[in-house]
Amino acid sequence: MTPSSQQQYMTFYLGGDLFGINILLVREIIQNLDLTTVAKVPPYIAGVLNLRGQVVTVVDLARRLSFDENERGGLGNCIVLKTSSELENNPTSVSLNERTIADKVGLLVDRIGDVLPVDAKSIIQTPNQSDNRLDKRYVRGVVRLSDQLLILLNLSEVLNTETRVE
Amino acid sequence: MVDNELIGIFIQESKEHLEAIEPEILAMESASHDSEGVNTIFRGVHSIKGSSGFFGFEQISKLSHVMENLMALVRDGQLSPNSEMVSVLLASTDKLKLMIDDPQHCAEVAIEDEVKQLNTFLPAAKGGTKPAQDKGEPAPKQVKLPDSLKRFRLDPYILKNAMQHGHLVFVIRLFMNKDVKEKGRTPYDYFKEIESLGEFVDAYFDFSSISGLDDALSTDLVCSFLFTTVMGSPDMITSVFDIPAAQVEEIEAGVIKEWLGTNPGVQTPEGREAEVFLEVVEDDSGPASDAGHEPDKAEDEDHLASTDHLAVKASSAPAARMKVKRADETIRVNVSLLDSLMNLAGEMVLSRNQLIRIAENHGQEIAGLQSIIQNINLVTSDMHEKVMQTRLQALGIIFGKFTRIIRDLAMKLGKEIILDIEGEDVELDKSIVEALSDPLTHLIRNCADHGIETPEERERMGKPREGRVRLTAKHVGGQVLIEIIDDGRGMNPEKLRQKAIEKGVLKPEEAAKMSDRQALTIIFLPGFSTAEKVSDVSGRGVGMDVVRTNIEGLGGFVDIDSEVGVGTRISLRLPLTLAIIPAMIVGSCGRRFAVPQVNLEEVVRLGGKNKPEIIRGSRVLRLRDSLLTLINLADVLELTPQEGERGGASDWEDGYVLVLNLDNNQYGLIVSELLDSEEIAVKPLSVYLKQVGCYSGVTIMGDGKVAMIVDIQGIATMARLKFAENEINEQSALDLANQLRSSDSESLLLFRNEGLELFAINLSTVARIERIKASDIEHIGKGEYLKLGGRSLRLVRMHDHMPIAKPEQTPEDLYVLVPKLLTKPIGIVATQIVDTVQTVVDLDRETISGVGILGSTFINDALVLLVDIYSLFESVDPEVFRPVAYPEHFKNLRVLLVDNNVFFRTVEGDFLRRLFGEVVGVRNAAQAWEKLSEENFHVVISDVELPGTSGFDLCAKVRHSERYKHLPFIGLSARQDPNHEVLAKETLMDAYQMKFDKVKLLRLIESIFDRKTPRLTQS
Repeated sequence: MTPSSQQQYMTFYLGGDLFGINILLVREIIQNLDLTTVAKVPPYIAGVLNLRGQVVTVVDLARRLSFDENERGGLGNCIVLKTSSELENNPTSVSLNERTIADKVGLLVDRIGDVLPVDAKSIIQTPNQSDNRLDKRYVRGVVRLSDQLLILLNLSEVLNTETRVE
Repeated sequence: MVDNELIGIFIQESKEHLEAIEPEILAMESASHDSEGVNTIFRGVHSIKGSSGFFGFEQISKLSHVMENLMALVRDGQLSPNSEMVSVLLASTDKLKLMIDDPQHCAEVAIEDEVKQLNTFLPAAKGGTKPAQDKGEPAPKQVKLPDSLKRFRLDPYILKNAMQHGHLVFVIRLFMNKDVKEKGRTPYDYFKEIESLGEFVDAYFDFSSISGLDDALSTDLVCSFLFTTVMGSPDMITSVFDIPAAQVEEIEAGVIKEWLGTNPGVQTPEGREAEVFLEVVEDDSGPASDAGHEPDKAEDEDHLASTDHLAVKASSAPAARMKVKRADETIRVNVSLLDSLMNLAGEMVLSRNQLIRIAENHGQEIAGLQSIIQNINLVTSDMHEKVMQTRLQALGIIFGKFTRIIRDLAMKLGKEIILDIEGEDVELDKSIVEALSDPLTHLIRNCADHGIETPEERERMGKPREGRVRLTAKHVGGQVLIEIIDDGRGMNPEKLRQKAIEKGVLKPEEAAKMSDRQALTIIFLPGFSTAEKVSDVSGRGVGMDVVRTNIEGLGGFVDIDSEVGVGTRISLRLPLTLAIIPAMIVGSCGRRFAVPQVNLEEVVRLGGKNKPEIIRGSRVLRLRDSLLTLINLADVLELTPQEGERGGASDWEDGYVLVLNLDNNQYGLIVSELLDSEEIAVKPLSVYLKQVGCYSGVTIMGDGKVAMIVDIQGIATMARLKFAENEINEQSALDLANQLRSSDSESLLLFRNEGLELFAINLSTVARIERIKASDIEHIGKGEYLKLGGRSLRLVRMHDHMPIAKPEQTPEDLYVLVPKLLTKPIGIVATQIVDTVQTVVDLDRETISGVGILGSTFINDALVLLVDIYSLFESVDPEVFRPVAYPEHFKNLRVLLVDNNVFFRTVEGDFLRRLFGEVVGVRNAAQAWEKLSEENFHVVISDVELPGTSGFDLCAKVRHSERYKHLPFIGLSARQDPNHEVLAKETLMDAYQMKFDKVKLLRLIESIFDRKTPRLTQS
């Protein structure tokens, strides 16, 4: 392990839960969404939006993770992810073992949290406690913070269209 | 030092040279060859020679050097190009291409043959056939050259040229470390610099200064360049190249002249003429005073006239060459840079739109704002257009190579083919041009291989020996139309049908149903190739379907037209650019969608006379003579209108119908609103949206909102609209209707035969309705015939055979109803098509009867006569339609006829009753089973598509019963469906066939009873 095993994580809330994704995967955050819904798409696609001339497909993360509707808080924050080619062209993200997809995708979340440093050693790979609400495939690991658990998302699985939502 | 990047540039540049050279070499053979073309070749090979020599690619340099020598002679009029020379030059160009693709390994390519062949054209190698004036000349004596010149390959032409213009000749020496590396330059930079100052002659690396490995690291490697230049003094050279004077050496003109004296290279019969000629060549690239230009020109033409070959050119295409582009007017830009420029320009347009909208409200408040906005508006539009243009590429880039392909193929196949190319300057988006290369190559090869006949064959047919292939491109209504037309043997639709059946690509009945024009499209079916035998030229069976897929992938269409013995025309329609397309913006349930204009034929407003009708459960619109199947966009996308929004069910009443064209099929897409017609920038779909299947892209509208682009095909598929290949609309409506049908109601076509009598015919028995003129009808003997799709169709006037009113006179405009699937179809003449209705027929067989009349019924309170086409046709042509000899023992057989359709039950029943002892008709499988268990039958004839239990299920049930497992069972169907045949086999039906063809049905029954002994099943 190199000393730089600490990485920055972008955190956000879905209902009462705190989630995190590596900040190197994040392109930008947009509020005041002007979403256009699209007919016939899978239920976890919230719609599309115009980000300065680029069309971003917005994934309703709560639906994707099969959260109950009533657990959801305020809407309207979107974390726009870097595309896989943006990652490849960026030397700082070469060390990442996570990948996004080629399309421009945003994640619809309830509330944006802080950016937290996470030490690789503190990540618990297989959480013992069974949280039935969340499919294990979507979780890379959890980090025990002083007051709550930070759930690190397995983005490749979340973005994979092959993965069925049960 | 010579790194990969530089080699990359070398490869790219050399390829461009080769591309420019090839058409000129080809042109040398034809009349259209001129001195500028020859010069292009010369310069091209010269440049390749120079740069390859610089990189040390010996083989490339050697071959191009010989080519250069040959071209110099051609240019100077000492050699006349002939087809042999052209072939060798082409072969050499190929070798160059091969080596340039992988220059590092060029030494592995054998070029001896080419070099030898090229040398045979050079006078020196001709031995005994030396030109006369050479004879008296003294043997060339060796001139003592300065040491610095010894290792260079001297080029007499360039040197002579330089001498004539008073240019100086220099040798410069560059130290790789000191001059190149430390100054952050590349040797190639120097090379380019030299080319800009004058003419590069040769270069070499001096490895002799390195004595060993250790030395190699410390010694600065020296590269020497020999070049001619307009620069007047060594000082200028030192300052231009930023090297010490010691590294520059001027070669005395005297030395060069002396050398030239013994190595003339350019052997001119008369010095003066050669000078003039050189002057002319120089004209295009160098400084030449305008004064005195005209007389030169005149002399030039005189000179050209002295050799036949050039003379032709001088008169035929003097102007065409004038617009040759200068290479240095362009710069090289990375395509990805253009892509992002285009994206930025797109964003700018959107921001401009937003700005305009916001500024609208403040125009009065801020002085001058309005005019600034106006300006920004114009500049942005202009800029966007220009950026789009940067991506446009002329088709000439790919058209150029076809001359060569045709030439090679013609030689290989022993044919004589002329390729005419038009519209090379038509421009398309770069990505489209690139993607077109393969499909076009395939089509051109096909023309030469299959289309054009051998010269002998052509002469026999009274055609000129030379076949012509025309490749044209032109703008047609916002699209580019590319056509490949040959005057070859054409395609025989009948042959195509047979072949398709043989190969199992099509079913016989499907093939039979196709019109000749449709049959031509068989070649686009996967797994079909017309090649009698597979050749290495074309025809591996993966051709035309791939062509079609590729073209359609680009948003284009392919069409084909051919006439046997006359030729074939294949047309490709392509969008100008993939990124921007004209579209109609429509609304449904508060959402906006873009529909590509390419697919849009017309728009019809519903309401008033334009009311959708229901035919067997599917809605159709009567549009002039055809029925248009309708799809409501809101239904397909499962949209429901919110408060205050228009859309959904109400659109059936007052929406808009977009008449969309899809591979010669049409359907109507119903939307609520028409909003705008604009050019939209197509953005790709994300993977999530792609899998929906009904969108083809996404776009950003002027107000910054996102709108989906509707996928015309996807919507149709989603609505389960199955277009039987090129079937007319009535059929597709019916197919849909058939799938949906659940009741006993039938669709009837109401028509008149002059007078007030209304006639009805079951719509599913009609294959087509043709609108004709009375004058189209041909009279042969007593019969009337109509030419239809290459065949003669016999016509019948109902009043000639049926007990109905005879018209006083027939109008000029007539309709012909062509019945489906008859061995020998007869068209029924009608004067007016009244309507189609969906109704439950209450057939009255008593009141009105007679030949051709099935009975009467009331539809919408009007009396309608149902036409029995079988008895009508029997009366028209008894020989074909009356079964003459059927076995007597049929009279003893009992038949169970199962059909839910009263019309068929009556017609088929009538017919069967004349053959068999007894025919019992029932409506469905349940009734049939009841009858079967109560009574005994010899044969069951059943519709396969019964309401509830299908005919197949009934058959399976029969087969499973101990009592009836051997009972002959015949399935009938009103429509063609490949699944039916499979099911028929699976359920062990004795036979399965189309309804309506009773002659076939009879033969079928006979053949079944030939195999099976008819016996009464025992209870």
